Amino acid sequence: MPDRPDDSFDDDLREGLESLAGEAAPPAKAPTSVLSSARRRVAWNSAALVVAVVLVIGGVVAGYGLTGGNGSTPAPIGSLTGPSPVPTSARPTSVPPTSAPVTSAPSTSAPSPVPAPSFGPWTGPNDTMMFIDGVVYRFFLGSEQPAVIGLSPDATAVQSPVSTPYGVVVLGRQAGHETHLWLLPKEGGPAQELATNTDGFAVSADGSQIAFATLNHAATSSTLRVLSLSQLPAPASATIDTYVRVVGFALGEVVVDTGDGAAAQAATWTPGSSSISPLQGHGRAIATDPASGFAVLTEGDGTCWVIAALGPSGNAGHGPPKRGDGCGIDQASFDPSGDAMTAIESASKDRYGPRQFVLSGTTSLLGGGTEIKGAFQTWWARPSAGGPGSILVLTEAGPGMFTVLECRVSENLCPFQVWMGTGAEGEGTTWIVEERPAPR
Amino acid sequence: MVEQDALVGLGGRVTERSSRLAELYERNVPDAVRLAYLLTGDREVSQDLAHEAFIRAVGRLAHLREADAFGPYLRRSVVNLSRNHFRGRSRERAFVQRGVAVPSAEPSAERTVVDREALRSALLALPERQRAAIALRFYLDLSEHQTAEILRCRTGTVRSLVSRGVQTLRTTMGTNDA
Repeated sequence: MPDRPDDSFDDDLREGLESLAGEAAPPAKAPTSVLSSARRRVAWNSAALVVAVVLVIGGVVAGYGLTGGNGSTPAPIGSLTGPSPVPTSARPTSVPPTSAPVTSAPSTSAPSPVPAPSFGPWTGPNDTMMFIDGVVYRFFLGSEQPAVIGLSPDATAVQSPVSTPYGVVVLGRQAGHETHLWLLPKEGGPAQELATNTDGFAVSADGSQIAFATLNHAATSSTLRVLSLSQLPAPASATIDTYVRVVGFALGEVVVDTGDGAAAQAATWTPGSSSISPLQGHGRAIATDPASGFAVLTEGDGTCWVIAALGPSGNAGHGPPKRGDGCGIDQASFDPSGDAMTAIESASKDRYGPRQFVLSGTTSLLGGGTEIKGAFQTWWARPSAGGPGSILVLTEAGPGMFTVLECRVSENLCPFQVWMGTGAEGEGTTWIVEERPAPR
Repeated sequence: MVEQDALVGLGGRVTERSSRLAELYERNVPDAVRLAYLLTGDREVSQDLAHEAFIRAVGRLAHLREADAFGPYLRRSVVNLSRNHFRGRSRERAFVQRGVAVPSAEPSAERTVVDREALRSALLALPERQRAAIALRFYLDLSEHQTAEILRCRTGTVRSLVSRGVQTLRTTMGTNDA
């Protein structure tokens, strides 16, 4: 065999593998249970084939009936003007710019015209959602044609949108305008405006609550709020005499960043209370895991980071924080189990330059990292059946040139490019949509 | 063609079908179990995975255009199921172990055959695709092209996986002189 590997170690390896494989001791005869299962599988598949043939024939006959037998297209049912889901088959590969959607907010205008995004096939985890130029898409494995599941009145988003059981939450922004917090309802219909003039939001672990802080016009005071997306009575609010930006939930607490003219200060707010509690020694909060209570915080005023377990009272005293290996952290996301987190570190402000993708166990020694050009978002994706999830990394390696890489813990590499697309360049135009509850 | 015979047999009467399935099992599953064992290092798990792969492959057999595709399909299923199993059970252990892997003592001049225990741990410490590539190339003696088909990658990737895997095995097992 011409391409057979061959040297003395290779021969030893062959013998070693042969010897090792001999330990497997496979059964010589097929166990009855295996043969029974195999027979059932054959019978099942044969029946399924028959059903499929019947359905296909039935579909052809029905389609012939709908078109009146002359090939004409039936009239569309309903209007396409609202942000209701569009059938996958109706989506072109190249998607036109977003037109003005119907909204309930009088103050918004249509997104600025942007280059039509174009997509390659999606080969990543099934059912992954992305926000691209104001449109929320759901991508399916192997398909170039994502389904549209929502339209945001704003074409760019301040942070990654979050999908909840009640719809997708988008913090939209247009140049020269205040921000708008939108809920794109799951059942379709116009986007609902939840708030304006806020710099961040967070969604609870179960996706039922949303927290945000609205700023007064001078940005000298903020009103922290928790709203219920499920319409259950859970609203709470507090006015804080400083700038506040919500970062995340952590075991029922809301983790925020503050700024009062002096050094930034991470803090927590217990919904229902009238004040916030500083997290001493931590300047900024980067991300939280709402279910486990872990938070990524910077040390002091610097950019080096730690992973801290926030206790029920919100204090970062629930065990010593685990110090990260690097500095300059920009973004982080947690494994749904709370066992690990991934982050993007940047040494420079060059959006398209090299970034460090890092992986760290929240309490374990798990760790690693690799350089990825233009990386700016990580997200733990829906796990494949029977296995742990993979990590998606969104990059913009050149203006408007986006890719999604799939990274796997077990390989410590990000070798799989699962998607690429082009769209409007710059911050906020493209995001992987997070999910609450997180996919497990 | 043997697999073609089995394919025809699966459409026959129940007793005939059972006989064909048993024949198919005996011809293919033992090797699949050994392959799964190399990939997982666990005897019971390797049998379970091979059996699951066999059942899946049989389910697909009736729809495979070429009956000869049964063997490759079975092997691909074993590799995929092993990967899922390994990721689910010990992703963190594998990652950390690789991070702290220390080359063993100086190679022994007398050693001509790879030590089985050392090979077992070194093999299981490899990234899963490297491990699969090594097993397919060196144990099943598949060509680069056949290995690439099973791993669903290019032959160049197979060469790279094998090269890096062998280099790691050499280092870990202390046979750098080979």
